[in-house]
Amino acid sequence: MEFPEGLKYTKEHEWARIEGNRVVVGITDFAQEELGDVVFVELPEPGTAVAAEGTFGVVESVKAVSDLYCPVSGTIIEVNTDLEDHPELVNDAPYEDGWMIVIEASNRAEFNELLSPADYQSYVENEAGS
Amino acid sequence: MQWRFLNTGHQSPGMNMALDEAILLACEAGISPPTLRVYGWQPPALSLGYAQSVPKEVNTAACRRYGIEIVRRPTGGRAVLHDDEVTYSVVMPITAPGGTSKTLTEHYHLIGLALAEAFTHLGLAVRLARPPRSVKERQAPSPACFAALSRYELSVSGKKLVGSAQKRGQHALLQHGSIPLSLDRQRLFQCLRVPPEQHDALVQEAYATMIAVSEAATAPIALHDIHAALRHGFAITLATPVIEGEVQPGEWQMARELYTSKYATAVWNYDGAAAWRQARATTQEDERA
Repeated sequence: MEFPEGLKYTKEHEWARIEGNRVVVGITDFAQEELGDVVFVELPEPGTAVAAEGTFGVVESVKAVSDLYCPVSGTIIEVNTDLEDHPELVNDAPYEDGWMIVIEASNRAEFNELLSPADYQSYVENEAGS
Repeated sequence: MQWRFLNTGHQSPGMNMALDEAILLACEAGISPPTLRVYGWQPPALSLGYAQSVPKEVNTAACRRYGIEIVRRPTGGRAVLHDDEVTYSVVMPITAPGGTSKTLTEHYHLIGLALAEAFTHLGLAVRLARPPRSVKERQAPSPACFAALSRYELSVSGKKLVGSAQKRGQHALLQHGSIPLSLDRQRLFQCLRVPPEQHDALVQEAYATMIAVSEAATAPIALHDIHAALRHGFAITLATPVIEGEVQPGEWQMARELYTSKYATAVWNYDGAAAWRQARATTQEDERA
């Protein structure tokens, strides 16, 4: 189970890589392992406004359909269109080629609400039933 | 909150899905208790998984010919033909009050145990299949849900008895499943878009991989006994009473709105979730203008 440094995390099992005002978002290794084989990822169009803790899309695996939650508020500026034909990238490389969206953040104060790698790891090991 | 049991009888396919989602939303909001619901389908329906393509996978002409409605589920998975069956639907919080969250697999296990208890109580020789860790299900050839056995599902003599699918929100989940009382395997594959030369082989395979309650049981089982057994199975497994209740007015209202705006629409059922969201966004922009 990987919890890379240099990323922030949420209790909904998304990761966020903060690059200035750009926030790259995907789902964590814990999430992809729990979901099983991902068969479909539904992502919004660039230009869509999103709110922290609101949903930005849907992921379907062989086990379940699950909503995807925004770590921060802002506007979607990029979407990983590779996931249309290669949803398995979410399983194979959740922190790299399996990235999902890039958000132009509108409220940098929200970054402080995100979990550190250590806090997320602790959450997963103690509270998330793993 | 105490577990609630609902029997909403035979509703239309769209209303069945709308009620599932309405109860999920109400539980997600902390308004409704965890709920076990049983229901039937009138008319019969082919339900599709969230992401399935109607043009690619469904023989819509055959569905029309046989009076089978098409409805898209909020949950994933593959096509299921709903006719002579009991459908179960569980809505529950992801985290037990004061407790830890259960994982996706743990929820499948828990619900699987409850279903196994129910069918054992009815005298069926059920087994709960442990999920295979190494099998890649992504490439499974059959468009039909029941042809794949995985994730703590119930079988009798190695054949799948219940086909289930789950949708997870932030705080609550919906898991529903089809328990066929009898199976029309011919009709199922007539409703799916399969190469004609493969039809007979798929039907034959379905005799080896799928089973109905009437085929698994040694004597006929009445519908109300199946309902009672499901309620018993959940009460025993959860170690809590499951109290007969009613759909609340707020849930009915939400279900009617979801039926009208989503589950009765061709855009949702035929074109899919992305097209439906796009159409709604466009409608909402027009209304604001």
